[in-house]
Amino acid sequence: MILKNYLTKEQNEARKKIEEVAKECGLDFFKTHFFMLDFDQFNRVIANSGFPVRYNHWKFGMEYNQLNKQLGHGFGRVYELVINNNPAIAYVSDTIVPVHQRTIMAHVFAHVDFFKNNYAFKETNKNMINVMANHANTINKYIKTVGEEKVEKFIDACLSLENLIDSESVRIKRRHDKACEEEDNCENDPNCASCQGCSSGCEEKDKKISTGEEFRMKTKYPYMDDFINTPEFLESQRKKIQDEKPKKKTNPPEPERDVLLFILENSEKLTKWQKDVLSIIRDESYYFNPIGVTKIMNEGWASYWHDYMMTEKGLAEDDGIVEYAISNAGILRTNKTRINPYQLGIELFRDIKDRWDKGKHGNEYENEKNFQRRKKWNTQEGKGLEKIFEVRKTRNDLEFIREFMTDDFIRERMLYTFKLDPKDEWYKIANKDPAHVRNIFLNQLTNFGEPVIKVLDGNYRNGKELLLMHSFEGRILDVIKTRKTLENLFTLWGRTVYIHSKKSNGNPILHAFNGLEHKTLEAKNK
Amino acid sequence: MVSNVDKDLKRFLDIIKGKIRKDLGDLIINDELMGKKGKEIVRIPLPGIDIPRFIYGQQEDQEGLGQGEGKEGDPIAPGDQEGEADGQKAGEGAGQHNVEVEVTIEELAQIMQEELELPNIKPKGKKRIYKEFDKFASLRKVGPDALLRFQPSYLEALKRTIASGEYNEEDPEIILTKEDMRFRSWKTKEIPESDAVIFYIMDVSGSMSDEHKKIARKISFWTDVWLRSQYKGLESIYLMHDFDAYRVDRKTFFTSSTSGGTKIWSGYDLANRIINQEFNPSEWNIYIFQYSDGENWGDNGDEFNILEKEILPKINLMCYAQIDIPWWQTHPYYSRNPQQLSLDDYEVKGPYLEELESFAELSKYADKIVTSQLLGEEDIYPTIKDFLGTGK
Repeated sequence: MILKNYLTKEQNEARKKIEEVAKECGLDFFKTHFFMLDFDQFNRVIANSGFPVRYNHWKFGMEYNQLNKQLGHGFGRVYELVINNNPAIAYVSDTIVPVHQRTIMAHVFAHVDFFKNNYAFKETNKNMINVMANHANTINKYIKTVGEEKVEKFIDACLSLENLIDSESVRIKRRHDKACEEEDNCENDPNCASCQGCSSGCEEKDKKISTGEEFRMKTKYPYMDDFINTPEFLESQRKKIQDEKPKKKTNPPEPERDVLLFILENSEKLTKWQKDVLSIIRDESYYFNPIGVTKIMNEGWASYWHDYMMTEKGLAEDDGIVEYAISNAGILRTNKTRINPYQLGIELFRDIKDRWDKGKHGNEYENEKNFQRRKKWNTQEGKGLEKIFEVRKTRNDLEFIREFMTDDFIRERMLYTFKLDPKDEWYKIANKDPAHVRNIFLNQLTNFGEPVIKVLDGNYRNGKELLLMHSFEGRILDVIKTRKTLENLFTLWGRTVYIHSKKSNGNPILHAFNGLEHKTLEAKNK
Repeated sequence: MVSNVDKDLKRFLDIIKGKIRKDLGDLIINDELMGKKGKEIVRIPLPGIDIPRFIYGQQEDQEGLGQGEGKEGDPIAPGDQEGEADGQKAGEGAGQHNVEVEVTIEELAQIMQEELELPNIKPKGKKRIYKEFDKFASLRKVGPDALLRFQPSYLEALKRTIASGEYNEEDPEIILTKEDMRFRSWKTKEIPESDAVIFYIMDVSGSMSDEHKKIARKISFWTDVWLRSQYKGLESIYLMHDFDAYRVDRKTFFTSSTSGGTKIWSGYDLANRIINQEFNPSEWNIYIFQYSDGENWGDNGDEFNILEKEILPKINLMCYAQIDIPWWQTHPYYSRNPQQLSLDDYEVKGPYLEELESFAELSKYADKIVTSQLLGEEDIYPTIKDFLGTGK
């Protein structure tokens, strides 16, 4: 496929200038190629998540169909899409006026800077365009040899489980553990990162057990310690653990977040082509994961810099500044029932810069309770710029919000939580307490607001059945969707599959599917 | 560019169409769809089309996040904004909910056509109806000042000035004279258009139960869909009758019932009067859909007189659906023990269907009458095929 829509001469000159300004600002990015696309081309690219070649699947067609409907009716405005690749590929909608094009180019350079420098992207493949194309080749090959329908059905099943990866892991785990266990020489292998992490962790735990630290009951009052943690108690606990230890040789030894990996390694049903397809879906899922966990930061960072470049650095130019201001206000508008990630991100970065410029951080500042003095606080520290560059390198959204969305920030920006009032069917402001707001927000961000699910046992009931476990934190699973997903899981596993969760009253519940029928069991308390 | 998307789109649309086609029999009797009438787009819920995941269930007291002025307890948005409580996620929540596919009436009719193998309707032979409208398309030399077009007029003046040698480049001065003036002019275009009117006639006497009406309603929805795809302007007239006939609106038509007797003639008579007053048969394609349980009072054959002499010559098609839901099907005892019934009771058939069929055999317009007997919802599908398969 050939991309033809290069920049015009004027656009290219604008790009050069913006690139220079971006470098002046300290941004550090890959070489970036821009393509101007018309409405239809742009929708096609978005449907494919920006990749020129991807495997064939109807979900891309569905996406395209929806985009055509939405954007065609003037809802939502998407202006740009950048692929995390080296060189980076940026698509810009050509339906906009030059000043917006300049804004978007500035925005794009900051995105690419983020891709290049943020730690979450460190391990992503920077040649993903080719990887995706290879994936497409592999899958299309199977479509030819195995049959379109079979492959499509299998991809459907894989996509249904694609989010069951270890979303907190920085990099995709290529498992070495198994080999290590068998050969038991992993200590000599410095590349075996996951293995090392495990063994050192285990050692520590072993030490804790032998000193009794592991199960020592905690108490606020040190004088109580002798009464609670009597030698007899510690001894009995130690015995209990040691008794349990040899019995507990399950697979996986610890609950496994990377469900897809576990299936790849342990399913007896998957054939070679199925394994290939599943690992492709898993690879792509890991590739897209960092984009999800840094959305607010990434958009905030890009918006911060495009705004800086357009206004302070004068890229908007005299004829465009009003147009720029209007559209920027639109992008950054707040919403009563939603958080705008662009707006929140840029405000947070500005707030961090301001605080580190004025030294509004640290114990001394935190302990100052006088409102006036807090407000006028300024130690002329001047480290704002340095700080935001550090933040963009070392944090993801969860850490970003937890650390920098301060109580003052929440109060000043008037953030709140809201609930549906069943009495009159209106959404009403429920809580403005900063700690509560932050908590709700962090909950939404954790695992993208999706349930955390792990493999508990790959040999459940001693019959090679698969038991998953939903880490229940107050919210129940959607039963209909759970059942359908279990059906797909069964396709991959081939024997009865279970997921353990809880009901809203906290009682355990076990959903099962054996290939023919669904069962819901009241599980024994785990 | 990005060539695979075309293939993916085609596959996606095929899946949708396949699902609709597979479920067409069920869709046709789906109550939910009935409520969506009147809009150009019908939304068909296709629960199987999305990719399921392990997700949280909806919880009523779920909290979302927002931003703005206000204190605790202040209302910020009405509750019908679906999915808003998901807060941040709602913004990008496409694909989170059950997939509802938007299908236009036309697409639906097309799927129905393919599935039921319906022929396209041939417009009424002798007369085609033309709708006229005016369009500014050309220029002419006379006209009202309001329609004067400056550019062409001055262009003419310029031509004339140059041709006559009066043109001076240093000091161009162009004077418009009367023959330079050009005015907008319109052409009347004629666009062929067929218009159709459907008369729905229903017996609402005491013997018609809600079950009867439900079936009538469903058939009429689908005939509506089909005829709308064939005609640009489609009007529906609703008539109900017991002993007398009334013209009512759609809602009343499907909901009310009386307890009087039944005289089918009264319905025909009212339809005939309305046709005479409002719908010139040479301009309108007229359809009559009649729903009844087959009861009829009157033995002098008035119904057939008016049909033969007045109505049938004017219309395209008359479809008669007799809904014969045996009384015992809702009976608490006999519905479970139908073997206890005598043969006469077991099969119930109103007398009017037979009468109409024997009349049709003798009638000049036999090909304009289609009849169907329905014993339950499962007969709706074949009935629609019978009614619309004539291509009239």
